[in-house]
Amino acid sequence: MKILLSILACLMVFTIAFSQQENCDCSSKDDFNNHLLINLTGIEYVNPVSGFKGQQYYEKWLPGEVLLTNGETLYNIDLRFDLFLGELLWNRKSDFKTGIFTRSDVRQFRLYKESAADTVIFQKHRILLPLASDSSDVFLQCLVKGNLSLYAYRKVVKVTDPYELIDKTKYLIVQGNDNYWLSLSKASLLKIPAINKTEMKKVIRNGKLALSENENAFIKALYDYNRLVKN
Amino acid sequence: MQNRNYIQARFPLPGKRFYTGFLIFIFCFFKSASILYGQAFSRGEQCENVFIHLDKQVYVAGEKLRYKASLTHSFSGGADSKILYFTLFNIQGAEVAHGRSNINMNQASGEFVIPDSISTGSYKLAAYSNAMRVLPSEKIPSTNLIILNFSEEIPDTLDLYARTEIDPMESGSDKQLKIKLAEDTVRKSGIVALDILFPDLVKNKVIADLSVSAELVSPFSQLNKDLIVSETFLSGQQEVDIIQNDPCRYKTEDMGFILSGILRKKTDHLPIKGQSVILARNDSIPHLVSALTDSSGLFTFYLPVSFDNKDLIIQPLVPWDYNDFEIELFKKSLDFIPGKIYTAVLTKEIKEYLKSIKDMRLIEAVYSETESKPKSKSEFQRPRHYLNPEIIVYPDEYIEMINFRDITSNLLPVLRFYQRNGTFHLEVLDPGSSGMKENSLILLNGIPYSDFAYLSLLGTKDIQRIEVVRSNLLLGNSVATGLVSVYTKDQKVPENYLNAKCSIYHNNILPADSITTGMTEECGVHFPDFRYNIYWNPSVELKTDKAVHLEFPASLNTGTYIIKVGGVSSEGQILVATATVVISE
Repeated sequence: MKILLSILACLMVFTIAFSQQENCDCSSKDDFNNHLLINLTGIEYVNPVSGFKGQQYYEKWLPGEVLLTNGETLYNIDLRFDLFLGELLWNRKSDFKTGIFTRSDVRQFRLYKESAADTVIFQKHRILLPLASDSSDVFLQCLVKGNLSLYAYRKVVKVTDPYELIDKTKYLIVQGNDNYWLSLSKASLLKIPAINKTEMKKVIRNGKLALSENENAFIKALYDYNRLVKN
Repeated sequence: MQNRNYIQARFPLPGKRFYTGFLIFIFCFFKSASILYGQAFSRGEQCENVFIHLDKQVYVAGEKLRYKASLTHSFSGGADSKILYFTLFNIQGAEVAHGRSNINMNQASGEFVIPDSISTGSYKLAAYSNAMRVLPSEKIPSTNLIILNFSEEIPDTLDLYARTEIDPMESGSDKQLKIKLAEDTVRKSGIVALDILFPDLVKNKVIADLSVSAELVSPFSQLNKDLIVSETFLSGQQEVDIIQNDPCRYKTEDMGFILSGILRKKTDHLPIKGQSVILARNDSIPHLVSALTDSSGLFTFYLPVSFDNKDLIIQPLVPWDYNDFEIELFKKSLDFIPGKIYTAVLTKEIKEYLKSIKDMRLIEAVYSETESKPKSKSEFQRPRHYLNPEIIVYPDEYIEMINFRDITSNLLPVLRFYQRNGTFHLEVLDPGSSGMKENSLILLNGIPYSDFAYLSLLGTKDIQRIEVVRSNLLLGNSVATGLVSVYTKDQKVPENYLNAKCSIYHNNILPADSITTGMTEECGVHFPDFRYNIYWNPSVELKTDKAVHLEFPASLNTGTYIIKVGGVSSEGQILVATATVVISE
C-alpha cells in the first residue's frame, strides 16, 4: 500500500511538473550562436611548418567556446591552438576548412577535455616578451588563478637542422599589474619578489614538491601558497 | 491491544477495495487538474505584452506621434525582446505606416511621424514584438487614433472602431498611483504643478518608469461608450489561445534585430538552397554579415545596432553573369482583420474640436523652430571580425593614372587586372604558392561588387584607396580567394548594379523621444502657445522613498485638461492614474 501511494504521489508531481512547460521561451539564442559561427571570418589556415617533427599544437581538436572582445561568446565550436603561430584556429564544420581567429577579436577561449575539471583556459594578455624589444598580445594558458596567478606562455620554435619544433614554453607569475617570468625551478620561484620565501618553502616542504621541470608541482605549489596566504 | 480492537469494532475501517477506489479517484482528480493547468500553460497566456502610452488622442497627418512603450512578461524567465514594431492600419485594415524601435531594459520611447498623405479618419496603431506576431491580430495590443488631414474638410460622419479592450484607466487601477495637483484651476499661461504618489511604495518597494501626458479633454466621450474613439493607454493583457502547434513560429528578438528572407529563382520561383547570402552596407570599412539559405531558401541575419538607420544591401554570392535569382525580404507586418466598425455622426461640438486641432497644428507648424535634436552619439563600433588589410594604397599620392589597370600595374604588383575575350579578370598573388590566383571577392565601398567593366574605368580621380588581403578567407560558408576593397571618393555604388543584383532594405528605426518642443518655463516665448497637448514626458522615474514633483506651463487654450500617468513597475505591475485640471482666463 505504501509503495502504491508513493508511486501515485510521484506520478502526480511529475504530471504537474511536466505540465509546467515553458512556452514563453522562444529565444533566438541558439540560432544566434549558429549565426555567429557562420559569420566567423578569418584567414584560411595554411600550416607554415608542415613536415616538421615535434608538437605543433596544444592538444588535438577540442570543443570549446570563445569569448570575443565585443562581448559575444561563441559556443559549440571546435578549436585548436597552434603553438608555433600562437594563434587560435577554428574548424568550419560545413567543409572542415580551418580558419585563424583574428587575434584582436578574441579575449579568452576555453577548451573542453573529457572531464569538466580538465577545462583549459587561455587568456589574452599584453606582455613584454623576455627577448623582444616590444610588447605583444599573446595567449597565455591560465594554470592557477588567485592572489598570485600562474600562466604558461606556450610556444614552439623551429629549427631547420633537423626540421624540428622545439618547446620553448615560458612561465609567468602575475600579481596585479606586475609580471614575473620564471623557469621551472625552485630557485627561480623563490626569487619572485611577490613571494614570501618562508611561506613558499613551507608549502614546498609540506607538499614534498619536486619543482624542477615539473609543471604540475608548480601548479600545486602556487595553489597551496595562495590558499595559505588567504588564510 | 484491547483498545485498538475496541476502536476497530466501534469504527470499522474501510476495506482494501475502498482504498484502491479512493486512490484512483484522487489520482484522476489531480491528473485532470494538472492537465487543465498544463493546458493553460501550453495554450499559453500571452508571454510578452506591451503597455503603451501615447501623448494624445487626435493627430494631424505629418505630425509626430509620441509614445512610451513598456514590455511586460506574464511569467518570469523567458527571453526579452529587444525590438518593438508599430503598424498603423486604416479603417479598412490596410497598412499605411510601419516602424520599429529598439527596446532597452524593457522600455522604448520615441516618435512616429504620421505620413503626410494620410486621409482623415480612424486608424489603429498596433504595437508588438516579433514573438507576439503568432497571436491572432485582434489580440495584438493596439489603440485607435483619429488622424486629420489638413487639406480635407471635417466630415459629418466618421467610421470608428468598436471597443475591444477594457481601458486600464477605467479598471480602477488608479488605486495604486495618485496624482495630487497643487491647484485644480490654473490661469492660462500659468504653471501646472503636481505630485505623483504611490501610497504603497514603501511597503512594496517598487520602482517604475512612468510617462506623463496632459491634453485638452476631447468631447468624444459624448459618443456611445461602446465606441472606442481613441485611447492613450492600451494593454493587450488578456488570455489568448496561442497557436498550439508552433508557439515559437516567430522567434523572440532577444539577441538583436532579425532580418530574414527567401532566395529563389526568378524563372521558376524554386528556392535556392545552400547558397551564401551577404549583407553589407555602404561604408568606408567592410561590414559584412553572412547567412546560408536552408532547404526552403530561407536565410536569416542577426544585426547589431551598428546596422540601424542604414541601407542594407543583400545579395547572393554568385558569379557576375548569374541573374536568375530574386530576394524576398520579410517585413514582419501583421495580417490585420478589422473588427466591428460603427459610423458615428459627429456633433457640432466634436467638429469644432477637430477643426481647432487642425488650426492649432497649423500654428505650431508655422511658428515652431526647427528642432535641433542632439545627435545621438554614434560610437564607432569595430565591425565584427574585421580583417586588417595587408596592403593599402592611396592612388592620390602618386602620379595620375586614368584607369584601374594602370593603378594595379604600377602600384599593386600583387594584383593583375586584365581583359581577355571580352571578360575582365582580377588575380591576386597567393602568399603561399607565389602564383597568381583568380580573386573572388571585391568590395566597392563596402559592398560586394562584381561589375569589373565599371571598375576598369576608375582612375586616380575616382579612387580614394585600395586595400588588399592576399590570403584565402573563410567568409560565411565560402572561401574567398583574396579580398580587394576599393573605396571611391564619392562613396557610391552604381544604382543599376544595386537594382539588378541586390535587394535593399532600409533599416530605419524610430528616433528616440525628446522633450516636447516649446516646453520652456515661460509660456509663449517662442510662439503663440495654443497647444492642446501641453505636456509629454516619457521618462519620469518613481522611486521608493519620495513622490515626484512636476511642473509645466499651461497654454493659452482654456478648458479642462486631463493628465494621464502610466507605466509598468519593476515587478511588472501596470500603474495608471488620471487627474483633471482646468485652465481658465
